Amino acid sequence: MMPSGSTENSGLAEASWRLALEAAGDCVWEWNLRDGRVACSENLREVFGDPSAEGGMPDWRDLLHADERREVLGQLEACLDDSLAAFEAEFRVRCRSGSPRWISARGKVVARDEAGRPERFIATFRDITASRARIDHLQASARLWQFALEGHGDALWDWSLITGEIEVSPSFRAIVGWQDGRPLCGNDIWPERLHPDDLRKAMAAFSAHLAGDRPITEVEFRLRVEDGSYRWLALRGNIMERDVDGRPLRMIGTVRDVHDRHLGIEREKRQEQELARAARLIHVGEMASALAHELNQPLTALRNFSGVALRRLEELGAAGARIREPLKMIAEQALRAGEIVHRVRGFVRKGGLVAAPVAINGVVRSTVRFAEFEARAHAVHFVLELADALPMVQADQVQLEQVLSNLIKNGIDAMSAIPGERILLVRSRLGADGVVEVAVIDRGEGLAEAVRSDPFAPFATTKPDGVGLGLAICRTIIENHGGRLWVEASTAHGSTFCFALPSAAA
Amino acid sequence: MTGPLVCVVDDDDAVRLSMGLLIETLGLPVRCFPTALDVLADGDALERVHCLVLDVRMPGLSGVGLQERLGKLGRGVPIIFVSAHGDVPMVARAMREGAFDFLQKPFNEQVLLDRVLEAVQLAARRRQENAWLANVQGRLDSLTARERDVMEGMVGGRLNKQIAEGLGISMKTVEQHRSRVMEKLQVDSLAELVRIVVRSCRQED
Repeated sequence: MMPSGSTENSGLAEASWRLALEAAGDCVWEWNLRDGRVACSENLREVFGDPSAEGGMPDWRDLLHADERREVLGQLEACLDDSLAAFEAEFRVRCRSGSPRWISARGKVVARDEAGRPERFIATFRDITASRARIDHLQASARLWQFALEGHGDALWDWSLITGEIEVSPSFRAIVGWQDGRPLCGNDIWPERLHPDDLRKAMAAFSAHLAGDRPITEVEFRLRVEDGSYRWLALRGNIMERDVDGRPLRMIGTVRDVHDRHLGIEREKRQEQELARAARLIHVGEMASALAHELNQPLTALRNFSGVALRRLEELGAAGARIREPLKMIAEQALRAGEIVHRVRGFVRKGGLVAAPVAINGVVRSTVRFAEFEARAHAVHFVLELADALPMVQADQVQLEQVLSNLIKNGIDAMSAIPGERILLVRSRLGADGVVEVAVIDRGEGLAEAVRSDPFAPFATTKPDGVGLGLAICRTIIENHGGRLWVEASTAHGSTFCFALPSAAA
Repeated sequence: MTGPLVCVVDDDDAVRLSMGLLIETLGLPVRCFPTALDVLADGDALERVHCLVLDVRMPGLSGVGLQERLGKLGRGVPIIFVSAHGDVPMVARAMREGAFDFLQKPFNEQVLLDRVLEAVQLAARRRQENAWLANVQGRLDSLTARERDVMEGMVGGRLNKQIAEGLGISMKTVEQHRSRVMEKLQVDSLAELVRIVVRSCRQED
């Protein structure tokens, strides 16, 4: 700071120098080592925090904070001894105003005698309390953030892209399972420990960010931890420093262990798949049941006809001998097919009915309630005409609800395109012979041509994604209960589907 | 045409036709109907039917419904149910209502034939019983009040003398009534008289 050189130069520039120093807030201290006298600038008192002190200027060496005293005085000595070229220190000093101040000092020996002994030493001091406080504040803030992040389970990393070295927080090491504090390279972690299936995705995320296509790196991947297993981690990273050409130099980020969440997601996916497969199996089971049911008729006819043929053959006596064997085969194969049908139906039957006395009106009301949502979505209104004092029926309530729900849904679908009022009427009454009858009446356009002849036949549907088993299954259920399911009417103004069940007393 | 008739009721055309042909191989006349209501509309069939083979599930009136209807009409015709179903509640109900048998489709056709034959024979026996009963009842109805009193005394094993005393008539009158009873009831012995009276009472139960 002080120019070395001629006295004239210093003389001329001295005033300017003084002004400059004082404007900067620096104070100057000059030590004449020959006579031990000390001179300093006017503002020394201010810098050292004692503007109103009476008496002489304080010797700053006496004000040194205990923590820095030895270091600073040692440096001063070394500088005087010429073992240190310059004196540079930051230290705290006591001051009368209260809290210690931070001072930044720089000094040099500016004149030595022929023997090399120091003659004059000059130092400047600057009050850096404020900027020092800012640094302290930042450090505290950083520590607080680190604490908070690690407290949340996020681990930190600081990666130098030039050297490849990476600094990681203790919690990061804990995640991977490193017991020691070994120095690390980025490559020790990624791509080295990445799961092969996640490699491409992870590297792509880094590349996109580094190339500037993405604001941050954000990616989840599996990392191989010390015990050999893989754990799911969520990584976020950001480029912190670039060089003058804009190339990334340093990247910092966090890593979070999300393994349990991933396990949960995978478990849910597996459960969904199993449910879907089970639903398909039930579907298949019901299909098989419906198929078996429908096969019974032609198989019965087949057996009967072959029986007839064989018996008529007897009348031909010997002439019929050559036909008898193949005919017998036909009869036997028909028998075999019939037994297969029996077995299949036994196989898919799900434990049969769980029957109990059931009040039909209650079933209607609860099924209608469940269907409200669907009805409202199609602007369909329910009207219920339920007879009082209906006898109970011996039934499996869940299965009855299935049937009613199916009929109601069909009714809603049937009216999906009509312009007028969409009213779905559900009526219950006592029928002839003590049966309990329920009717579902819609105002749709009636049954489509394709299914009109037998809407209950399996696979009869006009819906593009329909399988056509709903009504077939409904019929099976109702008939298993000893009842009947039929179409009472179907015109261009609507359809009426009815089912009747024997009352429990019967 | 007379004689025992088997009626087949099934809404499936192939099944109905094949069952008809099959039962014909027994040498029995068969008439086939697509629905139960068609049977009820055929008076001649209802008169002559000795066995009904019904599908349980049919549109309109079901097999069980027809069974109940026929029961109400007093037609005690043996009914064989054939069904694609075999669930216990339905079988139990059908049997409770007095079905002769219940076969699950597809069935062994020999079993059906055997059962049809048995049913027809049962029906024939029942008709004979009914005819006989009607006959006896007619004859019993032809007795006068006095003749009836005497008959009851005879069946009760009382001597003519006791009958005369009980009724306050002479023994000769009793003997006259006695002959008339034997004549009207067309029996040759007291034992025979007792037999038919007992039998007719049992039938009425």
